[in-house]
Amino acid sequence: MLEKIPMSITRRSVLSAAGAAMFTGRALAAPQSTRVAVAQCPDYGAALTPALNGLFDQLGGLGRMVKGKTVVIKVNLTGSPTYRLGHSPLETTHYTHPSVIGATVHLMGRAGAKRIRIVESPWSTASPIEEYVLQANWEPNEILRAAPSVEFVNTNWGGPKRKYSRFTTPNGGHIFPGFDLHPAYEECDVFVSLAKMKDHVTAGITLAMKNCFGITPCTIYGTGAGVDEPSLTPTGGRGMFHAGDRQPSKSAPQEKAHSVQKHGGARVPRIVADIVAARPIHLSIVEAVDTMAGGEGPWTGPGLKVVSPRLLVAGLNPVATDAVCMRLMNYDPMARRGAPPFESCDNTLELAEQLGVGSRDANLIDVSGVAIEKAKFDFAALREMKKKIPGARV
Amino acid sequence: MPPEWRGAGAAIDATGFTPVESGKPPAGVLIAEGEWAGMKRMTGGSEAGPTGMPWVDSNGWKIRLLSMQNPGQQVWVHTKPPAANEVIRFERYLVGVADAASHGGRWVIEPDANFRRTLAAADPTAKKNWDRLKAAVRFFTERTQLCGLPARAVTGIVSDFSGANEVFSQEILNLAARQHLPYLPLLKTNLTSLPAGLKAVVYADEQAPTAPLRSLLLRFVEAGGLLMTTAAWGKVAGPVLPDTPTVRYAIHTVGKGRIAVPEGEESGDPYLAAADAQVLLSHRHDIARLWNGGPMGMFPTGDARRSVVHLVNYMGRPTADPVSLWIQGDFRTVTLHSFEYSEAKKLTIIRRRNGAEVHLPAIAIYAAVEAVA
Repeated sequence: MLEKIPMSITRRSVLSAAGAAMFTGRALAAPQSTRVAVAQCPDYGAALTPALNGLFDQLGGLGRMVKGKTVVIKVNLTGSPTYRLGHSPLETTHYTHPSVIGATVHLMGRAGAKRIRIVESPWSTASPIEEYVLQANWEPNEILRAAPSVEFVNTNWGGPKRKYSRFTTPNGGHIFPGFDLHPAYEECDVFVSLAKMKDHVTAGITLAMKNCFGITPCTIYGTGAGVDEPSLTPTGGRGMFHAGDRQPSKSAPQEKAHSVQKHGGARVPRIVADIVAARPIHLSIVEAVDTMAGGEGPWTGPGLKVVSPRLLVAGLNPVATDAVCMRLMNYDPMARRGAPPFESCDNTLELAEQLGVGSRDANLIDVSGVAIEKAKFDFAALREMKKKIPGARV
Repeated sequence: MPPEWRGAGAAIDATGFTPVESGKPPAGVLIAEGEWAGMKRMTGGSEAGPTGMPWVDSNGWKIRLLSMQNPGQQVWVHTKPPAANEVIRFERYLVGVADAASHGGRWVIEPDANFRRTLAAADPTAKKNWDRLKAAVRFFTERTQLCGLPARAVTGIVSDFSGANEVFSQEILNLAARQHLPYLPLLKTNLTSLPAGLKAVVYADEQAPTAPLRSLLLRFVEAGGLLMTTAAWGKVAGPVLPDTPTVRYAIHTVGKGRIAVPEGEESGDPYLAAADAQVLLSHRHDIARLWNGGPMGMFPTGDARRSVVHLVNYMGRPTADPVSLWIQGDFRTVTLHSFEYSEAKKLTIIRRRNGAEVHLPAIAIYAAVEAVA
């Protein structure tokens, strides 16, 4: 059983941490359903909403999942909104496309969701998400008006009162026994990871699970995080997760004492596994109508490509969903460190599996919709091409 | 003209240049002391400013401020040459010329000791650089219609820009530009009306506004504007909005608009003030947006019928990634002008949202992007 402990971070609450355990909330768990649905979609136009709806129907329908519920949707807005891969708009390369967000919100509203919160912890700011996406040339109102009771929430901080909720990692986790997160992740009946399908230079791939790396607030886990307590506003990125060069604010759970991993390729996959075990994902949606190959953002060049796999994937279990995505990318989800795409890192799926989040074994996953062999887009081949480029990082 | 520069006289072509005797500006010209425009360099790389943005020096805000304070006079900026042991990349001269011209001013060129010496010795590289400098100056003198348009602003910074208010108010001007927040300095002592098109006003002074100024600003707010003020404004009667996009301000609704007053102790940090102004106003009112611009300055001028966006690359060399620009408005043609290209380039328009997006060729120093409805 997973536990979450609502709390507001103050000096006093740290002193009474043991006492806080009595405020245990309701149990959370990642769904164990092994059904993963795959669709092809030509573009972000009229075909998108029916294609997504078809995926959700194959998973049993959205109504069953969201009716009368508060839904929190974590999208991927990694990197600065003023940094593009070439001239390509960010949503066609490394941001979750606003049309996919809007269509998902619309379908959830239609299925009876009571409240929909779109969350992200954008780079080095506590400003409203609306301001962030306007800089990317999006119109946030198109998403906010896609259903009733929709809002954006910047989860990179705890608000002016520095309120955070504690999530504990089952079995102690690989590195972090727990995390302090924005309360939106607790005030949530259904947690959705709405990710972009991409390679990742540190973790090999970034899909539904790696998307949740960004639920951690930089007031606690960022370069400028407070030492004793969270800083008021966030600055910088999550360097401590990559390098292990410092600990989070002391008010939050610290790394396990025996954690000596100092290499991003070992740490990031473990921390991602810890995060998704502590804050389980109920619905994983991965989009790659347009995306990029070779890295997770324009800063990971050279050797990056804008590609159009025309894929949409959804599943209830994030490990199973990511495993299907890997097969669609022509990668082996069972690969160990050293094999593509994990040449210099550990396999996040394997690490999440060890924490009981789900299974990546193809024999245990029920794929519906378009067959993998028919829908496959060869990220692996592009990766091999990238390796030949001087200075390219894989 | 510095005496030691006279040796280079043979290389000086009158085209585009106006020789200036030290301390004797031409009639109608005000010469101010300024900075070497460009990215500040430190050992081992560029110096970072707040939030890791590269630190950029620009004379643009000073030219705008002095132009506003001295109507009818042209503002030139002079920068002391670097110390004898300091090496200045030649591109800094071009950046200095472009930075001033983009704001309707001129930069007084005073070559450093090495440049003067090599130029006097007819060094081929120095001669080539001198020709580039001449071409840049000629570019601007021949295109006054491109550089003479008024600034297109959404935010007015109100202050007396002097005494106790000097540092804070002038730094807000500087940092608003750095954040691509289109601004106008507004001198409070003779402010009887606000320019059309403003969406926000920052009252930057430590002293309470006079009754007429308060009344003017309140009318602006009641009509729907945003006023961001210091604690000197005093108590605001309107209700406080429950959510505020920045932790440092409480937002009161007054009429159709809003007044943002500091909550708790004032930070006194002009960078935060400029950043908060941007967030409180909202990027929804952006006149232009830039991608992959890095330390590039973006200065919109003109109006919705003919908009010229000046781009100054303070790095002095092309950015690593290609740059895209979006200009709010419905434009039929977009043309790029630069002394780096032999002729103007028509750019392909991609219509996105309520504006025109264009993909720019490499810009090492400067380009003017002219959009015509």
